[in-house]
Amino acid sequence: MSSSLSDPSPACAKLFTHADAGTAGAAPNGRRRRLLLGAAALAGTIAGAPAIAQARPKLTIGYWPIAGGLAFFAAIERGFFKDAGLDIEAVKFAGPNQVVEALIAGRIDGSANGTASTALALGDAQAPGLLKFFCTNYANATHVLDHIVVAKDSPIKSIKELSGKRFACGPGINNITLAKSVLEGAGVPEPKVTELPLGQLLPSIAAGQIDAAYVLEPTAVIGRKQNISRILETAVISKYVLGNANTPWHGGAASLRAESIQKNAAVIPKFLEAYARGVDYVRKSGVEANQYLKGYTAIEGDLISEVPLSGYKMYNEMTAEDYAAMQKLFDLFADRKVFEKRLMAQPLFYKA
Amino acid sequence: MSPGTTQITIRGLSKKFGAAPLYRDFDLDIARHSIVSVFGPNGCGKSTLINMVAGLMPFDRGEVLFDGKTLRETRIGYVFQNYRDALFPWRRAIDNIRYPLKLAGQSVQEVERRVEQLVDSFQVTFDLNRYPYELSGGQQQLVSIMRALAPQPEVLFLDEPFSALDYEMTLFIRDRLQQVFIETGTTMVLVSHDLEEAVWLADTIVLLTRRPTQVAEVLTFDAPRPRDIASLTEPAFLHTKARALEVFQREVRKAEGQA
Amino acid sequence: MRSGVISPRWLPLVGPAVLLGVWALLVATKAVSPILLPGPGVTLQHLWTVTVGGSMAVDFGATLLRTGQAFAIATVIGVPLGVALGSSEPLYRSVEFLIDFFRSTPSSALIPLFMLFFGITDFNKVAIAAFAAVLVVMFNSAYGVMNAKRTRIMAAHVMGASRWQTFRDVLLWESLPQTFIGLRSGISLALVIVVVAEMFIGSENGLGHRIINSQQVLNVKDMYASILAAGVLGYLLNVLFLLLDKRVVHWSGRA
Repeated sequence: MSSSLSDPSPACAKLFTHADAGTAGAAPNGRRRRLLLGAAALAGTIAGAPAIAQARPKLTIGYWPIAGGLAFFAAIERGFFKDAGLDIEAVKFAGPNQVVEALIAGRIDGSANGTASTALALGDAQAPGLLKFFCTNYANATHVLDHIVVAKDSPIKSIKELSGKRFACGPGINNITLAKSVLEGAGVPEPKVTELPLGQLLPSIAAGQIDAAYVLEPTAVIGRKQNISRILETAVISKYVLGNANTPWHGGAASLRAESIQKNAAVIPKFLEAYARGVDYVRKSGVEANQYLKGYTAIEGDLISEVPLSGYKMYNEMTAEDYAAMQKLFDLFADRKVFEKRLMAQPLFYKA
Repeated sequence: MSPGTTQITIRGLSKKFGAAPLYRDFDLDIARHSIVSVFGPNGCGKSTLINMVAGLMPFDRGEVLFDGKTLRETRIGYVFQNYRDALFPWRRAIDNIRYPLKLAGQSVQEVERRVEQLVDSFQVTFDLNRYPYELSGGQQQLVSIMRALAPQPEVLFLDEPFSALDYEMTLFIRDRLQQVFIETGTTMVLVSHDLEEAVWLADTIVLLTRRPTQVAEVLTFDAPRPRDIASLTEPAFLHTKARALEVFQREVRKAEGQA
Repeated sequence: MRSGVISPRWLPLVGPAVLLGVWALLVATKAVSPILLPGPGVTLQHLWTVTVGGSMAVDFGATLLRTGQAFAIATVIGVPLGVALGSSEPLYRSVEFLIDFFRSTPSSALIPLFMLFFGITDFNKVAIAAFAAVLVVMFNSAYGVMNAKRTRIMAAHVMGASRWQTFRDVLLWESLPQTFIGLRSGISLALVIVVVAEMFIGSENGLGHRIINSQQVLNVKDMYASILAAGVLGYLLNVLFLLLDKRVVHWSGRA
């Protein structure tokens, strides 16, 4: 009984004080007091229950465990969602496709940064209006993510030299399409790219089975630390696909299901605000923020201080150039028949 | 054909299973051109005896000679109780019969001639081109016997050849076996748990004791062949059978370990 | 249910019909989003289109070829080795632990090891599948020899067969039924591993490649059509081996 009495629900507290006030001043009547307290506690718990539920709406957000999701991880761990009165359930997925499938199936309300924007766009293409992007994570020359690496002692000095050499990238059509586009953009005609499991890229370089690979962080950092590889070039997508080393490659996006936005209309602004706080924290704290990668991703130990940070753009920070850069990416995928038809980037974004 | 000189001499045969001896200095003579039945109480090792003599089970001590020759120098045949597990199911019945002849390196003509002989002897009416598993139990055992007799062995061992068969087939095969014996005089050593059969077929009935197994008594049954069903009611037969039963029961009643 | 309501000839079709019915129901009632799971009609139609059109044949053929190669390697290495091991008890005992260990290790866990030895060639997929299958084939062949009926071996011995003759004329044949069980399991396993390898090691063609690629672009029609095609391939292989089994090991289960 004492535990329910100590539950600080506002309604419960009110009843309690009333009961207390009723007997204040009068000679303490043990039995009557206990009865009143008990009634108060019971009423309080019953009355307080819906109030408790109303006070903490829950959103289920899926994520793929990579560094791009840092803003989300930090926001959770620093209590920004709690401050906004929200209960967030973070659900880990084995791959970006699973995140998209879960979104379609309605098992999650949204996705955190780190899930490929092209995968999300594909999901929306199947069910138009399904989701809305509210934050992108991007890479370019200043926020490094994508590299081409070669063996540590490789004599190769530029991407052009990769013509006819053995080149690999991570699994999936997303990676292959980007890798091929990068090579073509850098002047390698008819590039041949081998698909390998992520964990095999560095071993294959070390074993001399491939000459170069297209990788994302933290693979390049790990390769350097283990004396296997060195970076040949950085921000290759920005440079060779989007045309400029500083143009952001909005590779990933955080999104919400349109249905969930409607259902939780009252709390969505609060959610977005809390998320933006996470983004803000990452921007301000730099590498210190990486501590929150632990537990959500496999990155820990001395890697934490070396993994570069992504750039973020909330929906209300997106500029015309940003939309154009994203559109260029989408058009590339449409040209290569990954998208069945041309998809428009801007309408995918959330509008307050 | 009456029994001739000694063909198989068993001297000092000894076999232990674990601590308890089964056979200890066991001696036995088996005469040429005779049918010898081996009969005895449970666990006295009748099958073990012929398995040791036929070389299927090693023995600890002793000597077994066939006309003074070792087993390796002697051609024998063996008919198993479990015909299913003895025949080769991947070969047709007739190829099973041909097998030992092929092993011996005989020419195709020789093989065919011998097979024809056997088919004739045994009055085989069923299709030998079938696979063994397509034949009935009795037919399979017949094939088994034919296979064992194909290389014209000096001695034929039979381990309870009829126990898995129905009565009709048993009578038929017994009859054929007797006929083959009359024609060829092949020495046969037969283990049986059926006393009537053990006596009816045999010239000599070897009755064994309990462990450690020795010969309890050797009975002779010299009714002329061919013997038939009528023989089963003749006085000589009944007398021999009764005597055998008497010895058998005497041995059964003795506790194990007594001489 | 009264026996004879459905003629025995049609009984094998009842199961699949029920499955297709449940599948159609799931999609029609929107219990599962049609974006994630297409209906059976749509899937089968798509399967037909891509088969007739030829693209499915390429992938089907690639997976079949890899499976066949893996199986052939497994058989050529596994049967003789297995029979040799089964014939010699000391030899078998000395490698028993290794066989059991590798048999129990999931092949997918050995992928990095295989990639080290076979590089990034297409052959590494065949190699992993062959490795998984060879263990099954070897184990069953050895088992077949070890469990040869003693009576048969004794019969050969009595008929004067030498050790080699007993081996050639009895042991080998005796072990065939069990060896065939190993072969049948081996080819099924090879197919599974080949498809998994195509999915996760990466490949330019094959049913596994098709499945994972379709999944990534949410082309669920093609994904499920490919899954069905993989199932059909597995089924056909199994039927083929059942027929082979009946013809070659005709005595199996009857003697």
